[in-house]
Amino acid sequence: MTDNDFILLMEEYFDGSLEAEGRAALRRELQADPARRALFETQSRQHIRIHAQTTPLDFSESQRIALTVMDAVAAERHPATFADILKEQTLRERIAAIREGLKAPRYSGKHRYARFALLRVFGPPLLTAALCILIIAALALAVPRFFPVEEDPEGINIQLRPSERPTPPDPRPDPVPTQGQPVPPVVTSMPIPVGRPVPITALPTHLIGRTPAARAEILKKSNNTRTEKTVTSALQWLKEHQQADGSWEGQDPIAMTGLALLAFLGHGDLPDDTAYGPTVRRGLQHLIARQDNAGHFSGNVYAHAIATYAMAEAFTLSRIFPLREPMERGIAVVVGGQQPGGGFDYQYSKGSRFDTSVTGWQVQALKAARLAGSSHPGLDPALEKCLRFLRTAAFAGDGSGFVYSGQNGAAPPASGATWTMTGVGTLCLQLLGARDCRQARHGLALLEDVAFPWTRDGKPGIYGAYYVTQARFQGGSPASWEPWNRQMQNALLAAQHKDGHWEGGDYDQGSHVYTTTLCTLMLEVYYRYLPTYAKAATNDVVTAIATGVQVDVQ
Amino acid sequence: MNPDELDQLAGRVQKGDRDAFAELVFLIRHELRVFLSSYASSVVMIDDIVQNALTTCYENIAKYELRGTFLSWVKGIARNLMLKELQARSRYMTSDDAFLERIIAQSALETAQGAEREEARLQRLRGCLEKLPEQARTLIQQRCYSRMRVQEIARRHERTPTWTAVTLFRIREMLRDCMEKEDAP
Repeated sequence: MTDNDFILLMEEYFDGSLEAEGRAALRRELQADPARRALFETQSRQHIRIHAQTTPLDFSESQRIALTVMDAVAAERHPATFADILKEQTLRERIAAIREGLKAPRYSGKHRYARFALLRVFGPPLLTAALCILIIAALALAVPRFFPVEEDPEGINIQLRPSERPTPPDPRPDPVPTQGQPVPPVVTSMPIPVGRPVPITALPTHLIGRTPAARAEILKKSNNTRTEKTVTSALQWLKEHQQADGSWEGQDPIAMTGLALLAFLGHGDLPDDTAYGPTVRRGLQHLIARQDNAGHFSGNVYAHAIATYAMAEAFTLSRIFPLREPMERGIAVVVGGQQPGGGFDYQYSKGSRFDTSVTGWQVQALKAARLAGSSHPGLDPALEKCLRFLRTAAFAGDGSGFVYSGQNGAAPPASGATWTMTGVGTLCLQLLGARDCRQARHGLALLEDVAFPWTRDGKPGIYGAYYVTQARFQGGSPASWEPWNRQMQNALLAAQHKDGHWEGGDYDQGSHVYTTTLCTLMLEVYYRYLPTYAKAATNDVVTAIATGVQVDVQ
Repeated sequence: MNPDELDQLAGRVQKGDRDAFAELVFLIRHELRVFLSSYASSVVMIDDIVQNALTTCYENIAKYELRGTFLSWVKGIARNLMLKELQARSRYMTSDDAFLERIIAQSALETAQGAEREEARLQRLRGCLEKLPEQARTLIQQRCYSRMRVQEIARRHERTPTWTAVTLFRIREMLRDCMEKEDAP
């Protein structure tokens, strides 16, 4: 058996796919060759160690295990303590045992005994009392039948007793939901417990740049250190402009809050950090409090996706488990709102129209939930449908890029592509692991002709620039990235106000939060979401191992 | 992981809070798995022992005194269970088919003698994993984090299963070297 055959057999044994014949061959080999046996031992042990180190931190799995354990303990706990129960005790002993048992854990024998003894001691008197009440009630009902009361001649003016008076109407006006908009629940303050740092090996590869050490290293290596001061100054401005209820101001505070949180999380600032932790925590609390019972963070389809995106990133990075449920409920709305063709539209409409811009934010939210380890069964099929949609329906027939909208079921629009939508489509395909597909490559090539759209006159197209920045960074070619990076850095650094904010971007809602968050997210691109193309490090061993490996982690 | 936080949760479990136990499991499971990986003879065995250890822990949690040693307490339970299991496996698995697992179990049992040294090596493995380059880490993640089979990884990378197996083999050897190197004075 050659070395390679032996190694392949071992590998198949590790993943449990080795058939009986293969196992027999491996056994013979190990019995015949002590050197290979030693290799098998060390490799197996090493495989198990690595496996344990890289196990995902999955809350739903932990919850399932906990439930199994608790149920198993409950089912197997035989009434051994019943011997105690049957033992005759004085009333004083019994009461002392009850007091002690009630303090013990609910499932413990002592606690069960206490409940049982409580019934024994207090059951008979309670039962007698209950019977008496029943008899009195029956009598009370029977009396009018035998001794009828004269009817009130008015018949209709029966006054309610004070306790039965209807509650006076709430003087506050009822919220008037617009079509399709959920009624927001009452805002309450929800405590978010302290999180714990996620080990870097348990973080998805794309997000490891957000740890402080990795961020510093990446900025240093990529020679982009001058942007860091700009980013922290913007984050400081955002911190100072957070509203008392944890939100950020704008036409849609949910969307603004989601974007601001993404900016903080993009920089690796988590709810337990000193500098911006309380800001992030209050923002998350605001979103959680605004989520309605159906899972909507907002009636606005953009705002909902942005909030879900932020919630998923917060959960992935902090592993604060109360964030998981809002994320899962948010993602259920997104999955449920997907059109059969894979796209999305305003109000999560399932009509004939699709909207690529709306789809862009939904894809980012879905991908973030995937990285967070969402257990929603519809998540993977939804991502697959998005991929199909972007590669077919949203790509213009004339090859000019991605279109803003079109009709489901019809042929892709023959023309009408825009650079903004081409940014959206290209980035989404890259996020979905299809950076090498024709549409993504073509989209990237088209984006290379786009100049950074920040002009002193008119409104800078930062919505599109947000996508193009990421798409060109993910694209991986220095020839494409460097010119754009220079333009972007120069423009953004020059346009930032002294207090850290930017203003005047397209779709800005007047509060500058929108423009500031998107500009910040652009400047966080170097470490916020690492691409998968990175070349092997120069380490000799590493180069030997990884030569030629091109992967997409999905 | 904050011992006070674990104690706080353990206290809630002692009072009968089922949700607190789920939180506790979430917090300690990763650590427990890593700890057991020094001694286990298979990945499945780790999961089994974790579950048994958690069951014992839950059954006896009333006996636990809140002194900030919860994790060590559970690790002690897990280690005892693991040693019993390994001894049983190395003794009683005599069939030909169990040969492969038995030799790993015997090797693991030997490691269990030098428990402290092994724990230090595990800490180093974490550091070595963090030093892995992107591509190698991706392969390891696909193999272990996403539990993909060797054939599946090969298909995804458009490589042969042998190439994939050999690359994984080399990564593991490299990580072992890294652990051993740092082991040296």
